[in-house]
Amino acid sequence: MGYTQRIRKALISLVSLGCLAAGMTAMPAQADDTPTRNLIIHYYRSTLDVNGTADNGFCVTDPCGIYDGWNIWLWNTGGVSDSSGNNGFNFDAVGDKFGAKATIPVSLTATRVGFLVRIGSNWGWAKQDVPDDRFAALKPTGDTEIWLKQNDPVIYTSNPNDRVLRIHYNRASNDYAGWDVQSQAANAADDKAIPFSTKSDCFGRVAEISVPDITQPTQDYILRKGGDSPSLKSHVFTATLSDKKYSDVWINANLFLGEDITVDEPSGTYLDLTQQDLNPNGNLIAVHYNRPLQDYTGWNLKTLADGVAHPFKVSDDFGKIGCSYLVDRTATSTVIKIMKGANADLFKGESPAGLGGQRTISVKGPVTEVWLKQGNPTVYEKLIVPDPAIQSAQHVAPIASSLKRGASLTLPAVTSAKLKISWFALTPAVCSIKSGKLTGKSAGQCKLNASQTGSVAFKVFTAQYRIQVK
Amino acid sequence: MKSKKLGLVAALAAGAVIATLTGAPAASAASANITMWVDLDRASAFQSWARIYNRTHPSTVVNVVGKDGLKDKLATVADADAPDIIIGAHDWIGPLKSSNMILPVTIANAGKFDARDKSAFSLRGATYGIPLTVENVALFTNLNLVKKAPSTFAELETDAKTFLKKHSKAKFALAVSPGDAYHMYPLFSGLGGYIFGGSSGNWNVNDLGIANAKFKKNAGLIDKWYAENLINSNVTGDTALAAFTSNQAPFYITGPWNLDKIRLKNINYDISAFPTIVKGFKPVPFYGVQGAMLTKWSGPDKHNVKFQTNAVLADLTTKPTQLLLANATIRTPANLDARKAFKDVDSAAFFAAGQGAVTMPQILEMGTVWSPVANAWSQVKQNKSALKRFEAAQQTIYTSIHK
Repeated sequence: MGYTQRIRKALISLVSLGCLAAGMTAMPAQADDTPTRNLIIHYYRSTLDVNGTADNGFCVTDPCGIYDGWNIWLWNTGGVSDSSGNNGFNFDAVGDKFGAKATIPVSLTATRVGFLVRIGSNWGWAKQDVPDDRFAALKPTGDTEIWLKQNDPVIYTSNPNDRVLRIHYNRASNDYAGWDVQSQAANAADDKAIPFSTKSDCFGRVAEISVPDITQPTQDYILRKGGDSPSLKSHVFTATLSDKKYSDVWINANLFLGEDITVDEPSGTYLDLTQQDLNPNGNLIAVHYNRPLQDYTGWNLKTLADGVAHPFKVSDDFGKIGCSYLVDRTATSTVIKIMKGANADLFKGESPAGLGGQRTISVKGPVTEVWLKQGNPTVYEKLIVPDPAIQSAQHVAPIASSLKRGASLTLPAVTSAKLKISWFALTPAVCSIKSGKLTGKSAGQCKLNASQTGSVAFKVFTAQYRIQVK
Repeated sequence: MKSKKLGLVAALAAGAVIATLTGAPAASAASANITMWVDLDRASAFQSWARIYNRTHPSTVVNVVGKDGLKDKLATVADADAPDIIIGAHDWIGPLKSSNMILPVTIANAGKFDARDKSAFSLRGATYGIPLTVENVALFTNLNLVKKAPSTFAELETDAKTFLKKHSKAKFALAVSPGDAYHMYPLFSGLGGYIFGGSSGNWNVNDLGIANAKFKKNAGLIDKWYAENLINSNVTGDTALAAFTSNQAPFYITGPWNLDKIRLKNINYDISAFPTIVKGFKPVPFYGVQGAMLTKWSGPDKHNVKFQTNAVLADLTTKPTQLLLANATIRTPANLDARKAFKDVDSAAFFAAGQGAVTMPQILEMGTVWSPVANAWSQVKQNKSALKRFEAAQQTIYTSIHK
């Protein structure tokens, strides 16, 4: 075999093995048409950039739009959309309600795509948004969607401009069947029916309308009954949206002689509703409270300012919800305790007197929602996972099975959980217990009970021992 | 030199092929989360087991979730949160199979289980659960009030009469809720009553024994028990427990689930089998087997974890696991090796009291039985004759089954 032949043979084997390897690993990708996923970049600008004007040639329309000339320089896409020496990836001609949008194909093997949002082409560019290189971490499978805001280095994984209008609706009759909120077609929140929550937020039921368009100052909606059927009772409202995540409106249905006034818009009659931008009762404090063993009977939310005990009336997946109102709308914090009669839900090492079990809640405006766990001083401001309802088992060190008359043995004082054991001799004629010691009194079977009532973390422990006194 | 380099590259490429080939099966047995629902009473025991299992099986994470009323919650749970395995009583399999919630299983180490425990989980030839622990009610005697557990029913009645005489405020002596057909079963069977003819796994719904001729002969004794205040129709499960643990009743019919509550009150108790009421009829309780059932969510169209759940179910059949669960729940284990090694005086007493017990019918039709039989026991105000009430119950059940 000559030198050339050997090379050719080695090459053939390499190529065939390589093909085999590539074929085996790439097979699933081919079946799904490579590439199978996208990096979707949403980009929001609020100002026209001077470098993006028609003067420098990047902008082709007159007047220039705020997105004109901006494109995305890409690398680490797995070779699918890399920009090296090219003009970068252009945003779609039509964006979405957030702003500009680009759907960038990336390879299945790409994990961390580098990018710059910039004005310019090839290796030279006039301006870039945010000075540093940026990287989008891709989800292990499927498309990855990110949101960027002008001059903001944060890579958002959900729409940061999404605002929520909360419509709190109170009906004295507590009858919410058939009621919903229809967002107006002309608005950013789209034309859709939004149902009210099935549970009360203490004022009434709540419908949440998501408003993704940051430029929208108001939201029009229809409060209605009967859906799209012709007999609907409806009323059109406008709510002002704040620049915060949540905006609230509070609507009281004033019932006239126990009946709603039928709405018939063309004839000018209307449902007697009053809409307020503030909860008429004061700022709402909603306390979600979890007791792992679900033993809520008798426990109340006590507001220390007025000394009123509010029952936990409503349940959710976390536990129970108790509500109180802060009449003083300027208050920035309020102090509460969770009480059952004279007992408070205490934290480790606290005594029931004075400050024991006291929690301070910082007030977030018209609605403050917090999550509390039994025996835990932390006031959580986001929904958290409740403690498991499972208590760990306790056990006790083994004790002797026989004992001589007149002799004693020391009984274990605590369980494996370091909780105190209560001992009881059921056959006092045969054996007795004093100062943690068991003494055999007369011959026979000594029956002995051990009990430990448990805690939030530990299950009750009981055991019966039979010890032969000889 | 050049060819040497190429050879190395070829070898690397070949290595890649091997890596790809050996990597494939590993991917199909990928790690998985298994969700197991257990009632709150047993959750800590299963969590202790899961801690050990998860350590020894790194590719599987069993999450034990404590649930109250878990059987009913299966109907509404979202797919993502649904359990792959549930722990429950064998008589759930009828209703759960009829709503296609559970899948058949194979019992590993099948030779280590009693035919009675295996048949409890079988329905029309298929098995729907791994037997874990067994339980039944027994007669509790409060030794603070009565010298010893009665060995005959006459002795029980005499002790009861003496107690009631001494405690004029007491309204009954045998603490049990007549409105609970499960707890009343020893008295029912002791009078000659039965629910269905046939045997476990092979019940004959056309043979109803609620008002059979032999039982009807003895039904008058029920009227007598009410008259002498041995039992009281107003008693509930809670009042029965409260009466026994506060020394207000010398006798109590209950199961191991109330042991903690009784021991906490430092009652000196004895657990025994129910004494014979009428010659020829052994008063036996219902026999229940707690087990692990595989849900539809474990299947390939949902969580696709059948490979891992099979391994979990196999582990649950083993002696060490069953012994751990038995000790933590104070219940007799189903695995016979574990049963031999399990040393608990109270559990042994319960097991002895369960000898000859009737396995609770696991068929869907059992659902039509509970309420009419409970009413026959307890609705003394509607009709004073127990005989008439049980005849009516049998008629109601017959109509429900054959409608």
